[in-house]
Amino acid sequence: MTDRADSSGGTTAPPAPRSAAPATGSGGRGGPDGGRGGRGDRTPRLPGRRGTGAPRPRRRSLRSRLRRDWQLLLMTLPAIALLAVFHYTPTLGNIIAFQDYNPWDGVIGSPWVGFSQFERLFTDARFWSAAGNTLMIAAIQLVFFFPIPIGLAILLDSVLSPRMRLLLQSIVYMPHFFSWVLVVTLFQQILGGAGLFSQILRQNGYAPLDVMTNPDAFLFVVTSQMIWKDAGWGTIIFLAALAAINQNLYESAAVDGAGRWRRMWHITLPGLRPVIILLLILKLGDILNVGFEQFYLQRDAFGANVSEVLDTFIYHQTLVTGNFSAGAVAGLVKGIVGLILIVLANKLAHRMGENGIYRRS
Amino acid sequence: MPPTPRRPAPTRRRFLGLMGASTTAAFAAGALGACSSGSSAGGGGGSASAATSLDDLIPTYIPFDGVAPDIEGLHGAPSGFTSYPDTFVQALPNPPGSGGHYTAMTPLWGPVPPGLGNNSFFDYVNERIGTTVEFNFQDGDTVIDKMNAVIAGRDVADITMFPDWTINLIPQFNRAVGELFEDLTPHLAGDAASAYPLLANLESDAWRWNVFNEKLMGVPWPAEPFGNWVLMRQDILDELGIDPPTSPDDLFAIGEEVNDPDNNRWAFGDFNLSMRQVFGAPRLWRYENGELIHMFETEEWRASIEFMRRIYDAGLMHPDVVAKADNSKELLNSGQIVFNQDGLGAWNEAYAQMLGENADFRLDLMPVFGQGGNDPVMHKSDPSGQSVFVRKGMDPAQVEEILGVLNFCAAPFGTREYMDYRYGEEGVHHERNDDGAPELTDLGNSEVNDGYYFISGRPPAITESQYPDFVQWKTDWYNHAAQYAEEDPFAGIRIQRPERFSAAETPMTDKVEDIIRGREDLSQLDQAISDWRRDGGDEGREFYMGVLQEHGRD
Repeated sequence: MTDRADSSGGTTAPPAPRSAAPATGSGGRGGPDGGRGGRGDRTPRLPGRRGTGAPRPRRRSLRSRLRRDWQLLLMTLPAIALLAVFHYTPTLGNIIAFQDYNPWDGVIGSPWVGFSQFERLFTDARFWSAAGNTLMIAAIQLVFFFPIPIGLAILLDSVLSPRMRLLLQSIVYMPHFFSWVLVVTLFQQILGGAGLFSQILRQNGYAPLDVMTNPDAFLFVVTSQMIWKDAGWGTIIFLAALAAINQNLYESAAVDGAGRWRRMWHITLPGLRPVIILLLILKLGDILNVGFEQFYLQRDAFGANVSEVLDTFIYHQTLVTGNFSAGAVAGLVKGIVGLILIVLANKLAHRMGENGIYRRS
Repeated sequence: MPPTPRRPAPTRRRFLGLMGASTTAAFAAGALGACSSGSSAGGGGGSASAATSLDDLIPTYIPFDGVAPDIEGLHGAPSGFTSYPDTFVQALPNPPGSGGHYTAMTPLWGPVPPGLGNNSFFDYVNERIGTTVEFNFQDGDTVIDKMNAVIAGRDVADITMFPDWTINLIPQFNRAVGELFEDLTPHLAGDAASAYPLLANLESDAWRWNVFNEKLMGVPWPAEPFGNWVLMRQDILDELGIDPPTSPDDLFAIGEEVNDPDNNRWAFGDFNLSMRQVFGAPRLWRYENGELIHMFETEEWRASIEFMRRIYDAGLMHPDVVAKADNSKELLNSGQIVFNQDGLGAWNEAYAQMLGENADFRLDLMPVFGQGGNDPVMHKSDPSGQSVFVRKGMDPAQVEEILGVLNFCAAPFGTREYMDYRYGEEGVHHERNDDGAPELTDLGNSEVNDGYYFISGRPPAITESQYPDFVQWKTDWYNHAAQYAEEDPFAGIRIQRPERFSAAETPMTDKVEDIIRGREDLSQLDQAISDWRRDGGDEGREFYMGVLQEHGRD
């Protein structure tokens, strides 16, 4: 496999045909600053925000802004209505966290109990154990799972034959569409104590594998499953971002004698930086949602000590005992922690000079 | 077709299994004392319906003697039919209905059939009944979600069926039932039921189970006495010349003999629940010297855990079972394990699946035995597997017509009515094969469904005579096992457990899984039990004690 800049080789060869189209699409913003890398191209992209010295336009009145934007606002209405009906209204149901809720009396009729549900949750050792497991798994996901799609995307992007690339992409996407039941079964069939490897080992006189029921191997197993299932799917956004990097940068860098690694370090990664930061923030906000099915399915195989996560804990709290309020409390706590993390991460992104997921205008 | 309304496999939906194990079985009709009554709501939201003076509320038992079984069930075991009769008994002289139209809501496992108007099976049965029943089927696998919504939305059909385990899971069901459904006591209590001879043929325990708030509310589905037991591959044992086990140690020795991982054969699946019964632990509580002792607190239970751990340590449990993979049925059927615990219905399901490809395939239930010369304690299932309710606010005449429908659908095996509501019209929906057993035609396969089967109950019977020796073996096992049925201190009382009591059970069962699967030591059990006592076990004991006192059984 050759790097793209190698393919465009010398100074005169045209860029590889497949990358020509996206390159022209983004050429406008990357152009003026040329080879100065990712950060340098911010200035033209955000005119009037900072660094240009031009006076800020005065903030317009609400009315004039309304007059200017009303068509746009109108267009967002359906989406807002959808959110309002299916997201914000159900969110109001969280008040059952302060009740001793039962569905027969409904939200109106159930007695109010203040913070006693919170107190019970916070004094429950199983809650803290589940929270600890969740954070542990989330940290592992962040360190070992998050970078993999980036690397995979860069690798995929460097495959020259379009047909080959399509084939490889399809292969790495496919596991995403398998259900967790299937993935877990597959792992069990291959790595389990009666699985493919164990039987081969056993028949040759060795001890069988013991990873699928070994609590110490839990983090390894679930992370492997995650990588196998979703790493390919995760490349999609990065591939799109890679396609948006100006090809001229690679050419110029190659002309200046930059090798493959230098080009990756100084062009590819800075080009991906805004997307990486964006996804990282979203991931942080989602940190307490490590997934339900995967852990629920393997809870008994590895034992609740290592595999109980907040979602499975909530499930066992509410459905087993019919205590919906306890579930709502745990969900609320999760949501608040997620919100705080998102805001903090976003602030941090601004510090680093990135847009993050939102910016006050 | 499932012999009882199917519940999801306990391995996959363990919490349902737990809930199912929570309520106690009605037992020994005569043992019910007559004393003060009143439904109670104890601390933590639990409640119990009174078992006293229940006999005034339920139908007088009038056996239907139109059909005689080939093998009589003993000690409350179901009877067996070793063949299909040549001719079927007509149980009801005339169609009971008077032309009404009613909706019915039941769960259904399997594809939804064509609806009323496009379904000749419905037309045929409705004509036989004389009443139009229009079904609204719920997906059986998610029925609990639906039933919660139905209750909360007060949106019930004229005839509504609840599997019993959903009743245990729906909060405040006791309150809802009185507001949503018709009190059937005036129509059915005592001799009033003689108007519905097939309903009067249902056993009294099952009727008692359907008394809520001192009213007879539902029509029961009498359940087989036992739900789960160990199935063993009789053909493999025969091939190896091994006799069935007669004690736990014997079972262990047989396990070591048949275990052969190199050739992909392990001895055992997980049969923790059955071992409890072998070792003599109570199903939930044991009442001794004025005190309630929970299963977790008995030596017998601990011994059963110890035995399971021994099995794990010896490598006799299949690794997939250790990993709680959901494939133990397949492992048993393919001979990768030789002993496995399952619902008793798994036996005929396995035959339906396996006999075609392997005519020598044989299963049998492991004989019932105790430990160290003691008798086993066989845990009884709840006496009724489901309840059928009638919507509140109907005219008495309408209620009576609906009860007529349910009476028709309660027709037992061997009657023409049974053949009608289960298999449709002969020659159209089913044909009878050489043995006289019905086989669905193509039309039958697309239209016939369990709707009518699920809106009433009938005495359980062992009827799968199409499988070799099945009826004989199963009735033999039952007639032996049923004499060891547990005497439960809470027999006949429907109990909704306090929330903290059931919440405390999850960590406990987790701990047991950890121990059985070698992740933790048996000595951890003491700590787990004292945690359980603190987190809800003692609260539960008080609640249950209160129930006993209230019913004068202390």
